[in-house]
Amino acid sequence: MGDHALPPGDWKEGDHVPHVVSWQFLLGILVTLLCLTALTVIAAKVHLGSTLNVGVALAIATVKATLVAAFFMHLYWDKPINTVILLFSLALLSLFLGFSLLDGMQYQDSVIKDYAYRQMTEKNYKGGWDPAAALEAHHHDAGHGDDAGHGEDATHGEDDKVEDDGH
Amino acid sequence: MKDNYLTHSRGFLSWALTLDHKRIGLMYLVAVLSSFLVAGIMALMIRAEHLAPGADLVDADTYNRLMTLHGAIMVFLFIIPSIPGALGNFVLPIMLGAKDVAFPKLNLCSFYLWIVGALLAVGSIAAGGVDGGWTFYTPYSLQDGRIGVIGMTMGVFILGFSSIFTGLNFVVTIHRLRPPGMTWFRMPLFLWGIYATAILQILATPVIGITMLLLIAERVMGIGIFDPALGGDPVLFQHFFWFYSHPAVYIMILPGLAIISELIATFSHKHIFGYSFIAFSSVAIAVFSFLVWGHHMFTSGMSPLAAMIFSALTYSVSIPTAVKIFNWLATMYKGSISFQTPMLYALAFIFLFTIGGLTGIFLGSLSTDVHLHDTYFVVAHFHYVMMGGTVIAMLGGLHYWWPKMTGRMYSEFWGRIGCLLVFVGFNLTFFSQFLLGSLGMPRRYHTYAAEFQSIHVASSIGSFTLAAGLFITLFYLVHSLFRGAIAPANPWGGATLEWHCTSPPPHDNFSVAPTVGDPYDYSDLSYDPATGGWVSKAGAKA
Amino acid sequence: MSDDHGHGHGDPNLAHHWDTMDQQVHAGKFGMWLFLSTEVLLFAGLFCAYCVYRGLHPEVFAEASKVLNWKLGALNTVILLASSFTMAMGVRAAQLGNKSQTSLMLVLTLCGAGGFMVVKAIEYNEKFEHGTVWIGHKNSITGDYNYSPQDKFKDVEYAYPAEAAEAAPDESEHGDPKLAALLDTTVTPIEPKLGGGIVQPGVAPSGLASDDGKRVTTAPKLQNMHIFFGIYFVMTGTHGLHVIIGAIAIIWVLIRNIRGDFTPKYNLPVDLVGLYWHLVDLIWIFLFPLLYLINLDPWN
Repeated sequence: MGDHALPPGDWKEGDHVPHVVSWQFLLGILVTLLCLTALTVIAAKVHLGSTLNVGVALAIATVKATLVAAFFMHLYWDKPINTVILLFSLALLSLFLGFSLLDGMQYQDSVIKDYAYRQMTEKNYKGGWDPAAALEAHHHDAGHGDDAGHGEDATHGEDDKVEDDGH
Repeated sequence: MKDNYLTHSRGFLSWALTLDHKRIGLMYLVAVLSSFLVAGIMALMIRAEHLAPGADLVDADTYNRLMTLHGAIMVFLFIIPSIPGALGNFVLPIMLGAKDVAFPKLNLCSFYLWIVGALLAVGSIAAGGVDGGWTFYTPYSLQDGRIGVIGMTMGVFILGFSSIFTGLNFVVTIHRLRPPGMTWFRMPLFLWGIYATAILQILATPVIGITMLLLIAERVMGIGIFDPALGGDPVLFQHFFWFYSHPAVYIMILPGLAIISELIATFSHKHIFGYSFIAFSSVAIAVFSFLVWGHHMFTSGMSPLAAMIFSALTYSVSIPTAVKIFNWLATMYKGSISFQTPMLYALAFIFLFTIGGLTGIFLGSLSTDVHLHDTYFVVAHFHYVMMGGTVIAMLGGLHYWWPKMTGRMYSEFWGRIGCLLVFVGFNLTFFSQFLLGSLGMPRRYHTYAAEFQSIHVASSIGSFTLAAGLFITLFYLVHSLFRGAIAPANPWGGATLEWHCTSPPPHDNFSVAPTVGDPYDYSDLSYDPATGGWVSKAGAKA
Repeated sequence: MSDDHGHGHGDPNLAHHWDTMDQQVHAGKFGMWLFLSTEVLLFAGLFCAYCVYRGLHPEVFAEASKVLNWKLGALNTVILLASSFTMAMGVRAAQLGNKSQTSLMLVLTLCGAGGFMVVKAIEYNEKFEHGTVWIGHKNSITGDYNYSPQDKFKDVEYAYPAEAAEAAPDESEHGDPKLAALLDTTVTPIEPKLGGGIVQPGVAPSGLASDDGKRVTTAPKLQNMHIFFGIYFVMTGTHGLHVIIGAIAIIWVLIRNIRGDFTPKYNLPVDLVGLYWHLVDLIWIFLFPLLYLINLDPWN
C-alpha cells in the first residue's frame, strides 16, 4: 500500500518523515473512482422512484468521497483528529439540513402554493387578489374541517376577477 | 522599563506588518473599542430619541438606520471579535507557555480582514437602505433601493473570515503548542473557554457566510429561495441566519465566562472549585449551542413540531452555564477575597448574567414567547447577557491584564467609580426595558404610546449614567498609560503562566521556558509590598 | 525595522515557535483540515437550500434537470477525478524530492482545472443561448413570463383547456393568451408531492393531445422552475470559484517548486494545496448526481 523506504535525505529526530504512497495504489483508486462514476450514471438510468434513486446516488457518492478523503487526502494514515474534524462538520451539515427540511415539510400546510405566480401576474392583472381569502379557500378545498369560523366568509370568492377596486 | 514587546522595534511598519501576537492583540483592542464607541454613540442617540414618545430628534428612516447599525456594528465589529481578538490574542500564547500562536501570518491576516470588513460595513451606511434591523430578514432586505444591504452583507462575509481564521489559529495553538507538562487538564480555564469559542467560530461562521452570499444572489439574480414573490421561503432565510447567529451569541459569551473563571479564582486567592466541570461545561455549551437556533423563530411561521423541539433543547443549554456559576460561588466560599476592580466586574457579571440567563428561560418557553417576542423584553434579555455579560467580563479582563499589557497600573479609586457607574447605569437602563417589554412595548419602534414614556425616561437616564461610567473608564485607562505606576510582574497574585514574565512581556514571551504547574495553586505566592506585586515564596522567578 | 520572528534553529523552514518540523507539519495539516471543515459548512448551506427545494418541488427539479447536459457533467467529474489523481501524484513526487515530476503533476492538475472551467463555460453558454436563464420570474432572454423556454422543452407541450382560455379575460399587458389562461383558477397548479415520483407527463387526463405526438400535460406551468436554475447556478458558480482559487494556489506552489523551495523534509505547502484541491473534487462528486442525474432518460 505504501512505500516503506524512506525518501532520500538524512533523517534526524524531529523531522517529519512523509508517508509515501505507491503510484500503483493511487492509480487503482482512480480507476475505482471512475468505475463508480459510471455506476452512478447507470443507476440513474434505472428509475426506482425518486427517493430510492437519490439514496443510491448519494450512497455511491459517499463511497467515492470516502475513497478520495481516505487515500488521496491521506486521512487513512493521518492522525485521527483530522478525520474527527471532517466527520463533525458532516454531522453539523446533517443537523442543519435535517431540521430545516423537517420544519419546511411541517409548515407546508400554511403556505399559499402559487403565491409567487399570483404576485407576479397581479401586476398585469386588474382583478386584485386577496391572499387571506385564497388561503382560506385553499384550506377549505383541502378539507381541513376544523376551521368552523371560515365557513362564514362566503363573501370572499376565490378569485373575483370582475371586482373593480381600482388596482 | 526593560526591553519588551512594545519597545522591541519601532516605526509604523513594525506594527502594520507585525507577526507578534501581542501587538496584533493591541491593534485589535483599539479597533474593537473604536467600534464600541461608534455603536455606543448610536445607542445614546436612540435613547435620547426615546425620551419622548414622538419623533423629535430624528425621523423614522434615520431611526431605523440607527438601530440597525447599532446592532450590526456591535454584533459583527465589536462583540464577536472583542475578547478573542484583543485579549485572547494577547494572553493565549503566554498563558499557554508558547512563543506565539500557531500561524502568526494568518493572525495578521485576520486583523486586516477585520479592517476591510469594518470599512465595508461602515461604508454601506452611506449607501443607505440598511434599516431593517441587523438580522436582515427577507423579503424586506431584498427590496429595491436597499443597495447598502449588499455592502453590509459583503462586510459581514469578510468579517466572518476574520473570525474563522482567529478560531482556526487558536484551536491549532491549543492542540499543538502546549509545553511539556501542560496536559489538557492543566490548562487554565480561560483557554478552555477560548477553545470552545474557537470551535464555534470555525464551524458556525461559514453558514452566515453562505447566507450572506445567497442574500446577495437573491437580490441580484433573483434565485427565488428567500423571496416569496419569487417562490421562495422567508422562514428558510431565518433558519440559515440563526444557524450561525445562535452559536454566535455563544461565541460572544464563552470567552467572557472564561475570563470570569480566572478573575474569581485569582481574587478569591483559592483554587477554582470543580475545574473539570467548568472545563467540560465550556465544551458542552459549544455543542448545545448548535441545537437551539429555532428559538429565535418561534413566531415566524415555523412548524409547532420544530418549535417544541427547539424549546426543549433550549432549556438544556442553561445547565452547563449554571454549573459554572455554582462552581464560581463555591470557589469564593471561604476564599480570601479582595475587591479590586477586576473582581468588582466579575461580581457584577455574576449578578447581571444570571438575570440575563434566567430571562432567557421566559423567552424559551413557547407560550410566553408569543407575548414577549419582538418586545423590549427581548432587548433587555440580550443586553443583560451580551453587555451585562460579555462587555462586563471584557472590562474585567481588560483591567486584569492591563498591567501585563501596558506595564502600568490604573487608578484603583477611579476604577471602582467607573464600575459602580456602569453597574448602576446598566441596571437602570435595561431593567426598565424588561418592564417595558412585558407591558407590550415593541422593539425597533421609532415612536411609542405615551403610557410608556416614564419607563423610557428612566431607561434613558440609565443609559447616560452608563455612558458616563464607560467614558470615565476610558479616561483613566488612557491616563494610566502616561502617569500610571509601573506595574510589577504579578500585581494580582495570579498563578497562571502569564504572571511569570515581566509586565509588559518581552518580545519572545519567555526568556526561559516556564515550568508548568497547577494554574490555580496560590500556595506559593505571597505579597511583596516593596514591588506592589506577588512573588513566589521560594524566591525563584521564571 | 520590521518586527518579525527569527528562525533561530537549524532548518530555515522551521518557524521559531515550533520545536520540530514534525510538529509544524502536523499542525499545518490540522489547520488545513479545520479550514476544509469551514468549506464543508459553506457548501452545507447550498446543499440545504437544494434539499429543501427539491423536497418541496420534486417535479420542478425533475423537469428542469433535463435541461442540463449530463454528459458534460460526467466529463467534468472524470476531469476532476483525474486531476485529483495527478495532484496526489504531485504530492508524492514532492515527498520523494523529485522536482521535475512534481512540476509535471502540478501542471497536469492545472490542465484539469482549465478543462473543467472550459466545459463549465460551454455549459453556461449553452444555457444563455437557449434561454434557460431566469432572473427572477422572468426569462432573461425572451423577457416573458412563460416558463417553458423555446428550445429545451421541445418534447413537452403545455396545453391549456380551450374553455379556460376563453373564460379568462385577457387583461394582461402582454396580450398573451397563454398568460391569461394561466390566471384562470380552474386550471390548478400541481400539488407537489414530497419525495414523490418523477413526473412523466403523458397524455393528459382531459384527453388533450397535441398533433405531432408530443407529450402533453395540462399542468399549465411548472412554477418555480427558476429556483432550480438559481440553485444550479449558485452551487456550480460557487464551486467554480473554488476551482479558480485552487488553481491559483496550485500555480503559486508550482512557482515555489520551480524555485526549489521543496525537499523531502519540507513539502508542506504542496500537501496543503493538495488537500484543498481534493476538497474541490469532493464537492463536485456530490454536485454531479444531485444536479445532473435527477431525471435521466431510462435505458432504451
